[in-house]
Amino acid sequence: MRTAALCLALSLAAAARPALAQSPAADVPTIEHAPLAAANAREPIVLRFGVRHLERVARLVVRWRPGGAAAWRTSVAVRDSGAWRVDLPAQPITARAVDYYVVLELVDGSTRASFASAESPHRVVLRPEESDERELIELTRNRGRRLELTGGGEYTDFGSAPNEGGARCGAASGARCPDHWYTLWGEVRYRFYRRVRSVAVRVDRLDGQTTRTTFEGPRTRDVGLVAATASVEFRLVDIVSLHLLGTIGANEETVQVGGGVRLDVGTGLPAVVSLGFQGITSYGLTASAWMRWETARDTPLGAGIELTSQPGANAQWGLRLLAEGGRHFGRHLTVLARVGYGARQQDAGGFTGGGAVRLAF
Amino acid sequence: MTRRRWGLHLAVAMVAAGGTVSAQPAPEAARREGTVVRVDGDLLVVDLGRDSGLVEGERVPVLRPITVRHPITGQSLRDRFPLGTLQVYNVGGALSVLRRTEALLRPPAVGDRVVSPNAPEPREPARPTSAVAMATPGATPRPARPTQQPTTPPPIAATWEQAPAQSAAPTAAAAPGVDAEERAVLTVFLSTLGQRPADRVARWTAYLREHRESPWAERVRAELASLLHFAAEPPPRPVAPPLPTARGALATSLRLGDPARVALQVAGAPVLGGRISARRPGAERYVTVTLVRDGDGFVRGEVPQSLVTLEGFEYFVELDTEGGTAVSVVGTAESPRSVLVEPGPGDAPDPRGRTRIDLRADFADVGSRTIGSRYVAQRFVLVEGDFLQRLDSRVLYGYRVGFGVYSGEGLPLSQLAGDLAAQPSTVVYGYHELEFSPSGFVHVIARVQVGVHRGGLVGGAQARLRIGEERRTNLVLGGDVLTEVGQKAFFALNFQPHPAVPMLAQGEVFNQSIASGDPMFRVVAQVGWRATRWLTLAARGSYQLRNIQNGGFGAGLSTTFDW
Repeated sequence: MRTAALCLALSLAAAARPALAQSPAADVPTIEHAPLAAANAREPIVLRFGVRHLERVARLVVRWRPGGAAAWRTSVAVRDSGAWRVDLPAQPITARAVDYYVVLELVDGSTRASFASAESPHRVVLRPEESDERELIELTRNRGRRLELTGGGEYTDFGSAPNEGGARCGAASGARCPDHWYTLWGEVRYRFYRRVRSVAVRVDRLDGQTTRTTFEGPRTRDVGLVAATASVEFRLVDIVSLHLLGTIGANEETVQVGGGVRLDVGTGLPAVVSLGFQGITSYGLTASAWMRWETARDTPLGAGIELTSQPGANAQWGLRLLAEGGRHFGRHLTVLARVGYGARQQDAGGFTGGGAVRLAF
Repeated sequence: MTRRRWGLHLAVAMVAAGGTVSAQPAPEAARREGTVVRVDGDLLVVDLGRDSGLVEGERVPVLRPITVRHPITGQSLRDRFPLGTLQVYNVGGALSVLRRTEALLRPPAVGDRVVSPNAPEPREPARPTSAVAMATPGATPRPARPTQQPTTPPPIAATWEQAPAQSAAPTAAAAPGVDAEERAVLTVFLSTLGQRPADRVARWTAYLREHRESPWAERVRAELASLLHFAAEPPPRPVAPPLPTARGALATSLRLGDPARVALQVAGAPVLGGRISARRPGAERYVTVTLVRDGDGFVRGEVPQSLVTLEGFEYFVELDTEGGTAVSVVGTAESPRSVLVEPGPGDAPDPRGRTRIDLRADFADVGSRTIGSRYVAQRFVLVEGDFLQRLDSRVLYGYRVGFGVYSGEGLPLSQLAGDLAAQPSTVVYGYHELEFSPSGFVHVIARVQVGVHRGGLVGGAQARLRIGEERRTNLVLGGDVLTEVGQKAFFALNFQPHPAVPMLAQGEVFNQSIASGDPMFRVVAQVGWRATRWLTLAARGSYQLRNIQNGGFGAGLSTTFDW
């Protein structure tokens, strides 16, 4: 008890009396307060006060608001180990500052502006913790959006290769071997911007024709797939993410499973390079390398190369050269278009066209 | 021992204790007197609370305890002498804070005593009970007089016993029954009580000069030696005029756009105003802004936003005392505080200057002509596009993705004379490149490429060495290989005779496409025009040949977007 009292006495001594030349008369209630310059975001802001001539003070009131907000809120100081304190609630990481001023309400009903004012409040800069800082940076760069709903479709043509002597895709397939399909897909992604950067679920629907290797040899077959893919994006370091994907679905044969991995380098930077690999049993493999950038305002662009044996687990791999372009319309709507060229061999190739619409909140 | 003599000794003890001498003060006295329990610079904490009557702002005496020895009895008694006064700064329930605002005789210390002048008077005159105990014969037997025993107690004792010590200055001379030597030594002894050590020394020295043969001289000399030792302590440190201090500062780091506001509460001494001075790091001059006084002793101001840049800034705060002195309370002009300014959370790295897109198309003839009665086409078309992102990383300069189509037709040289038709050959390819910058002047570029040729997928690689900066004059040396397609070696000099006219001179040798193994040499000259800051158009001409009879001209166009 004595030690506590001593500490209090010393702290009061350190909280030296205001000493401006125009300081109020000795019997006027005043506060002792070290104005905060910065505080941690997502943590309550603790303001501590000493009060002189407390017997004349009814309440010590702190009026505060998140930086830039219009309305003032009021918090009343409470006793804390001999001093007085006000705990301002933790602010979201998007709040960059808190403004406040201090008023003493006296027992005679009058008020006394003790520190700052509504017209000229004191501003406390809020600094998030390191993990919060990263989240804040990514969230801000993504315009405060966390939820994305994306739907799209694409038509892919690898050309119709000549069925020379019926050897390429079977005698009954005709003079040429068609190799084209369309896909429709939808995806929901939520971004945490934490160690787990995002999670997503995607559903694909594919329908088309390609050359499949059967017991009878290569044959043109109708192929299809309905699959759902769940993915988790981990933050390895600030600008590097790793996506792990798991797929389950059914193609024209039976239920299939698959998985994949994708490495994004440059997350949060104007350009991101994505290297991916994904496979589904009896459906095929895809390796991809993309660069996407957004160095023109509201115009995401991208170029990528994909090698694929999909959609028929084709014996002959194909090359796809793809380019993307898009446009943000406001904060919530993005429209993307994709064009490309694909071929499995020199004598047959075709173009790709597609697009997607994304709503983000 | 006579009753009278003990009465005298008791009276002496009472004088020493009656407001001055007390080993265990009574409860009433505890509220009136306090002990310094902590010293922190010029601030002292005493164990006196509100009930002691201390009033903030008043001055109270501080006393230093000292042990003295009675010249006749040899008893050790506790006395004290004044050090000066302290100002009451803050009064608490059990403790109070005093402040040293003037020079004291000696530096204050734990154990010093403080007397509240406003303490309620005790109901009865306080008797120094402990002093009584100390002087009681059973507790401390009186030592024998060195030379002669007094026969009657000195009458002064009766007087002293009935009056508070501080209200009646004792005079041993008025005590009957005390011999002259005793009276003389007691008179001096009583006159030293409550005095500063130096005064005591002076009085005892004067006494010894006149009473060298006194039977109490030895004891007085011993006391004098003790006092001389005590008085020999270093003189007190003079107290500098109080200076203002301030609590609060700017945040050590800000984000771009944050206001750089400072708010300080001033303490310690009155001030007239203040100012905050800020500058860019290393700049010679400060920009000074006057601080505005606010509320209960606060000063507030804001560093101009023009200084809140990503360079950061330095600052210090000065306050003006009433004496006209400027006192630095946060940092100094020579050693300012630094504030780091960081980009805002939404500020992605500046995308400007990062992107370059090159699109180019070439047509090249390698000697198409009529041989005999048939026309033999020997030519190729090359279309390429690539997308470069400059990554602004120290080692990795850029990342590039590109596509290309190379389509040609022709015959090997050995078959030109035959009747075979020209054979077409096409390769579609794409590539990814990493551009490393081991130094700002030399870059190494590595490419991995994949394409589709006759038999399906083909793969390859390319490496280039660029000497010189990318957007200035530079020389590029490189080699390329693509399975089942061929190899290529090349050099290219990019230069700018005028900033708006970039030019290229290139030479290459390759056996790709139509050559079917025959090497081909090609020279290219390109002239560009920088139409805008981000758009450059260029035209190129080339001459290529497989041998001196089989060569031709070519032409092409190129467009570059760079933003």
